[in-house]
Amino acid sequence: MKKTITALILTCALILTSALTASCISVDQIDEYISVRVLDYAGVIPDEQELALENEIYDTIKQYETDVFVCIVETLDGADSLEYLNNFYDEYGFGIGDSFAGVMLLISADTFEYAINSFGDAETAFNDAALSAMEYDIFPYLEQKDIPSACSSFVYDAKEILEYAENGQYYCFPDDGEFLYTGVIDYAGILTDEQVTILDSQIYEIANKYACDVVIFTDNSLGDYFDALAYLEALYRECDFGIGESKSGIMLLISLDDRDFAINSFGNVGLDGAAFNDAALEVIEDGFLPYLERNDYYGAFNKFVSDVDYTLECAENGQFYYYNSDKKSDYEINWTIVLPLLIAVLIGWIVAANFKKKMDTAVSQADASYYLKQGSFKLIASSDTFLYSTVIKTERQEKSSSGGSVSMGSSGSSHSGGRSGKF
Amino acid sequence: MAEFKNYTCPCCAAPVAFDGTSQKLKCQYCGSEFNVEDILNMEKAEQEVSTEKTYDWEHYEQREYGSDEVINLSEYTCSGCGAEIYGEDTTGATICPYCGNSAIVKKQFEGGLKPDYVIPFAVPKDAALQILKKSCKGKRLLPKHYIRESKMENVKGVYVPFWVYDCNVDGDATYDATRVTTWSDSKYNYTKTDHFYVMRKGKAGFCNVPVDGSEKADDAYMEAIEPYDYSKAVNFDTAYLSGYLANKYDYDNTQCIDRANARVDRSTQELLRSTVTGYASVTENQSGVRSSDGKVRYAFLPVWMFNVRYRDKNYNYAINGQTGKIAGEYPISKGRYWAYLLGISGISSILLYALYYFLFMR
Repeated sequence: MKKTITALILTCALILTSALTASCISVDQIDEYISVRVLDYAGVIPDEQELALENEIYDTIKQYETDVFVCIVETLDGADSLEYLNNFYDEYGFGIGDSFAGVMLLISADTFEYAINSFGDAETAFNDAALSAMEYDIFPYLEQKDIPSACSSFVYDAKEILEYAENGQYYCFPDDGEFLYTGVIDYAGILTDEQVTILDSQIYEIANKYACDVVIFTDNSLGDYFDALAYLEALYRECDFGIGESKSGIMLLISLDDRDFAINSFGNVGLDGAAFNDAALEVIEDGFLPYLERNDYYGAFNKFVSDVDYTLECAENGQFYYYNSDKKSDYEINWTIVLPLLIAVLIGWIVAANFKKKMDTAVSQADASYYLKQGSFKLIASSDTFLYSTVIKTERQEKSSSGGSVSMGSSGSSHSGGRSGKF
Repeated sequence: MAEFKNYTCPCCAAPVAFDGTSQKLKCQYCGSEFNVEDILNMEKAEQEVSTEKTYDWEHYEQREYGSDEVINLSEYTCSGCGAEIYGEDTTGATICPYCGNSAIVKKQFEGGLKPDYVIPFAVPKDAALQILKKSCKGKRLLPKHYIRESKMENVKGVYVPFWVYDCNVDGDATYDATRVTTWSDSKYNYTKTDHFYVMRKGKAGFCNVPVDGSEKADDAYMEAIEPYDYSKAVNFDTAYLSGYLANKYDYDNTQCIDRANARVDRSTQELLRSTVTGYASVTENQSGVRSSDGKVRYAFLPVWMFNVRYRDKNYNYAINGQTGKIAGEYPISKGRYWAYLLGISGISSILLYALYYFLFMR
């Protein structure tokens, strides 16, 4: 009996361990692991190209231990492309190693909707900037409805990014003569060439690292626009600033005549656009405003750029940038801890005071109630006369149930707020 | 010629005039309307109330010690606090019961008012310490070894001179009272406040209201050890002084009357106020008390006086010589005080955090 039980337990353990090990695919097993890396359900990629891509992918996987996967479906049936991609990836257990590292492209053959995402350890190499770059590359092909070329671009880009990552480099945008960042536009001519170059190089770094455009625009007047913020927004649209489909970027505009400035952020860079919320913009404004006020434009722009860099860096780590300055005290009272303590001390003090009172019993008697003759109190006369009435009417505050949710567009540049003022 | 009376609005004191359409008295200024009879009732009530305070006390006939009485009393003057106490020759008072000073000068008894009655001591001397010990239980802030480390000194039984007052009183008072009702409909919350003019008139009788006539005896202590059971009072005889001391009064009955009046006044007002019920708020407008048939008596009431010396400080105690009620000041141990404060704060904070956790964190 004992032997059978032990045997049973051992068998179970064996099955369990083998199952666990089987679920993690290691690099050595790739050759035995028969799986297609290009899943073409819609049948739009010609066979030779498909084979070439598969080979390319196998090389990449072997060399960089990162999975690359392309999936083309006939239709998404109205589902969100990114969600579909994520589910697909998880369900079929793609990815290499314990973290299931990999990058995947999904294209819908009917609407040409696409989604790209990276998983596990691959997220470092395929950060937002890199994904944006890949997006940028496949987008023209999709516009021309050329899915096979889009897939090729994706695979080659993936390989290139992994190569850069191997060398510890961030993937730079392909330098095909088009600088994707905007940098400094000095119409008012207040900066020297040297200063512009320095600022531009800093902005270049930022754009590459975070896929966020930085625009610094100087002008003498606001022209037809009634305020600096309106001017800024119009410019951003018309000149098509911003990186990526959502036109991510942050812009600072100054107008010298009236000493106006405006600052606003666009797109969904940094914590889905939250990194540059009103609070952050206020903090950045507090940073450069003193320089503007003393006409130190280069100093102001320098501070601006470094603050933007720092904010995006914090956003990468999932943090908001809190600016520790003397002006703003970073001191916040955590009421959930302090309030019960205060109440407890109050209770303790009241009880102790009560005990203290008992320690002196020599107290005067205020009245003579003990000396009242029993039954001697008689009410002789009493009258209760009604005089008048007042009625107060207060409006009821209905609890406002705000229905309707704010829907965020999944694509297209979204922005709100922005700050402007005088210096 | 008939006398015209101008009635004023109880809300804003502006004149009111009879409004033909509503058949009510209407205020020109604030627009309030009143029934005619309500205003008349109010006026009547106001007139009935008299706010004067008069006290009528019968003249006190003083009694002197008769020449035929056998008196063996000596008088002592304390050089420390100036108290004048007397007792039997044989008492041998050596220490002043009020200030603990031992420099007492004995001299010839110079006479003084003979009390009308006395309440004899019922509590024996040794019981005094026991009473003190018992009173220390339950005093949480008392230093740990108070009884043990303290020295009870100079337990002295003293007859403290009291003026005792009887009187009948008539009291009046008027009040502003309100009754509040609230209701609401779908759009508004309503609060209706009804204003009333309340008048009360009553009478009561008081007897044996004591006021101590000795300057040295702390009034607060003396009032704190009240009450005495006057049914045990007996006519005074010097025999009762044996073994005890007595005090000459420093204030005569006319000087002590104010305190008695104040207490009686307050009691009367409280009694009247207790009859005003059923209102959301009551505020006193005016009040008056008149006392009559006032009687005064001079009494000796028994008090054990002593002080306890603890850590170079004196703590005085007075024990009612008849009932054993004790009053006095106890030392407060700072250590215990802070221990209790922090301990209770600590426990409360733990409970509050636990409560918060269960309420909000689930």
